[in-house]
Amino acid sequence: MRRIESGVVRPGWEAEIEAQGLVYNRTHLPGGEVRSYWREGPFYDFSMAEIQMLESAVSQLFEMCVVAGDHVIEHDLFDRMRIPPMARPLIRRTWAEEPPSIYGRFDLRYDGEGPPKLLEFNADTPTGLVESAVTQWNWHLFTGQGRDQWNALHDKLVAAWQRNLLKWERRTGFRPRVHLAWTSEETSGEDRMTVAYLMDTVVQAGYEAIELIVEDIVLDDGDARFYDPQGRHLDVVFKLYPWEWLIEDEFGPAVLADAMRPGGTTWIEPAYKMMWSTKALLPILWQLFGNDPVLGKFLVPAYFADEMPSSWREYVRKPLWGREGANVAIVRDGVVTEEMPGRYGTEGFVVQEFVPLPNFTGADGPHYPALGAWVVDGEPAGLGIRESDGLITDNLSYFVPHTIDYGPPRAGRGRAT
Amino acid sequence: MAVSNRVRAALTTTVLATAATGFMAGCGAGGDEDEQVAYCTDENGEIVDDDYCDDGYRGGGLFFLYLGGFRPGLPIGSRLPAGGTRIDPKDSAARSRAGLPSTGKVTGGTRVSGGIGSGIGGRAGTGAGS
Repeated sequence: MRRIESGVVRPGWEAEIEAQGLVYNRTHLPGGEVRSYWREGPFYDFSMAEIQMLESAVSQLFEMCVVAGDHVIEHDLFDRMRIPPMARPLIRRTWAEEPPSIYGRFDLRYDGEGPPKLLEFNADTPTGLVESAVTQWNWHLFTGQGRDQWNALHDKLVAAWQRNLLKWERRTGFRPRVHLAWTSEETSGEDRMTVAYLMDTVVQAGYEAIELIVEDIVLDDGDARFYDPQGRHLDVVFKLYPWEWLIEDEFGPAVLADAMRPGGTTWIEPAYKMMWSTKALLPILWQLFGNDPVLGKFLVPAYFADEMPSSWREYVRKPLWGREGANVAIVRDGVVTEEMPGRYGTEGFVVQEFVPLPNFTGADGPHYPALGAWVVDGEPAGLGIRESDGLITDNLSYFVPHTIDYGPPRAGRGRAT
Repeated sequence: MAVSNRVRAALTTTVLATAATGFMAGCGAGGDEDEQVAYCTDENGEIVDDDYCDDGYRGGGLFFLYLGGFRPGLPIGSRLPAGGTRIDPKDSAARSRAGLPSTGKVTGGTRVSGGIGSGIGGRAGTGAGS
């Protein structure tokens, strides 16, 4: 793994990536400055052996999460994980029945030398999909840099819809329409573009895709079922809206009750993803696999905050339900040295050993990449890298594309740019 | 072992490209033509005065708050089509579940839904994604 600083810069790249869907590229900083979220020019390069090793690690991490899910259910750890009682019946039901699940993203610490290590699992509402699946794929094709890219996202997403919806169809006896919902409170365009891209994959899987805003979801007071504003029943809904918010909303109890009834709405991702999207997954994984000589190397030691070893002086504290780095704190020598603002934490924290992201320093300063490894329908599917100037990857980080087996152009044979 | 898409060609992303074009052109989310609106109606689906659907109304007759994809601003006496949702005006829980004020009159043409999102749940100032 290495960071190439001086890659091809495409003429007109900014307008091009926006037209392709990355409309949220311009990041408005608190001081009023506008900067590009996509980094054009620099990229990371991996050997095929590294990518295959990462792929294998992601497969094993996913299997570990499955075991952890069984463990949570069998030992009724929901109180410990702060998962509300009202959600538990549907979590148990969906875990047992395996309704459609499309995707998730493991965030990994990897430096090209040691094994990749799991930082967290964005299992319920991962974003960064458009730039991973579309923008960097087009970049790779256009610039011709690298022999390949770890990016089977599009093919696997289409296949995931086909497999899951066909299964749904066989179970219910009719062909579902798929609504894909985003919240209008997210105004950068990221959620909407994520949904629009997923609609493309639903359509290419052969199913009807309908865009929906979660605020427009209608609960029928008569039959207690869910409809879109045009009165069409919500058979299958992909919701880019976290379960922990959904169940607290006014319709939350009705969502849970309806989903338990025959003929109720199928929500994607399924409710069991609450077991994986909370940071409480991390200490459970460590408890189960920390001592495993093969699997333990993919994990960072983690504990519920109230079980932290008294000897720990260097660790990261994460709120159970935080997003995009909010309320994450780095503690060194027992003192908080970096802390992100936010409103999470009342639900409790986990602590994770402080394993700093590797620094791939460039001429413009330090770069700390976090690897987002995509899982589609339970299988490794691709990679998206976000890098930050600091050690916490937040919503002000940059997206940097990647290649496999890049060979710099030889003198006289380089591409005209 | 293949780690990338089978066809090394630009993806067909018609929905995404269209949405992106619309977004960059400054178009907002969706139109208003399909919003759910509520009217006070009698048992035949005919629009009546809003007073009949005030939960404090004590007179006779059978009246409903009737929700559907109707045009706002319809006059009293208009007959609304079937397929909407009837809500008992005195059922405050049902009214609020439907996104209507739990008590009092409902002005004809009031938009409903909104029981998910809209800041009702545990908002934290960041996007829904992660």
